[in-house]
Amino acid sequence: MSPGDENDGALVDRAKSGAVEAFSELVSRHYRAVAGFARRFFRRTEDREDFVQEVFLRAYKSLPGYSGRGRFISWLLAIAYHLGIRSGRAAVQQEALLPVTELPADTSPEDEALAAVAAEAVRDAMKELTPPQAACLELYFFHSLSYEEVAAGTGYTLNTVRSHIRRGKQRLMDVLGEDPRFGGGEA
Amino acid sequence: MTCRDFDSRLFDLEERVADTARLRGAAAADPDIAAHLAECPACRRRLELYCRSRLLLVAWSALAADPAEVAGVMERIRRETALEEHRPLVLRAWIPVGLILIVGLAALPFSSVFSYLKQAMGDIVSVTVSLALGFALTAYIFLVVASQRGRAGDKDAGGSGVRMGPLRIGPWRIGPRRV
Repeated sequence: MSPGDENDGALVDRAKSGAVEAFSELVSRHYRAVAGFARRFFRRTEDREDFVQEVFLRAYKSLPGYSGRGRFISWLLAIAYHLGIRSGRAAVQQEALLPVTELPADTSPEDEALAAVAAEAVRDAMKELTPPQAACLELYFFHSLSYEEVAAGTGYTLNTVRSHIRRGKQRLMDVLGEDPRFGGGEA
Repeated sequence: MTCRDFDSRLFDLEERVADTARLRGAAAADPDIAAHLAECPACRRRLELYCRSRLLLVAWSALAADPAEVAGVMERIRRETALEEHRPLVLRAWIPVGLILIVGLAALPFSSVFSYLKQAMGDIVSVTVSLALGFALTAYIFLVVASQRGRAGDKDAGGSGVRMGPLRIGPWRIGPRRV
């Protein structure tokens, strides 16, 4: 079985016992997720790349302490979140969240347009949220983390996370509904 | 049901479904939400955009990375791990303090105070000081070695510098045996 066929848990187990190629596969799988999250903190591409490398480096060093109870991606994004917060750059994010040219090859032109609007909408929604609210929404919306995983990663209580995310989703729905490219704002 | 109520109900539903891919189906199966969707084209459009945009953004996030990006990360790990392996001995504050205390303890038998105590209490003083010195020296050496060994990683036979071994606590290894 090639590393690409294994699930994250199996790769983590192998990486813990010294298999470098297993960790390399984990990097390959989750690089985009961490890179997307890095956009919250850094505007310059070089800074983001450096940040992503730092996150994986810390994950590599902390791997012996990873219990494997939660999903690997939520553990990884928790490292990214705390590192990003410590960098004090949470308010920096201004650019589009999603480079639409990097969507999967089979994406239709309509979906590409939708992804562009969605990225714009998420950005607009986040402008009205506090950094912790925006971070919770992003972990949930982009990375499909559950409320429990977001709470575990950020250190907020479950109710706080729920409140942050609902506020973000509400704003997101409003922004999407108002977008004229999709017939919004007509009524 | 107002559009605001619809949003609230939808988010409640999403929490229960815990999967955006199934959210549209679940919304259609909920009588109140379905009734509102039937009469409100704006909410139909918002729901559709919400579901599709989230799935697309998640799909983007899940794309495999460029091999060059992965290579960059692995190179950084190799570099940093190699640096740590070759880092010189760190002089922590307790190391010289402990050394001074041990030297002081070792010098005690040569002091006039020790002679006085020995005369007053007999050989028990010599035994006590010897035991204390032996214990302190053993503990000190153990702590120094453990604090420094914990910093170094294993090296591959090929010397690549990247090797993730089992958890190491001082001289002990916790985890699978290396083959």
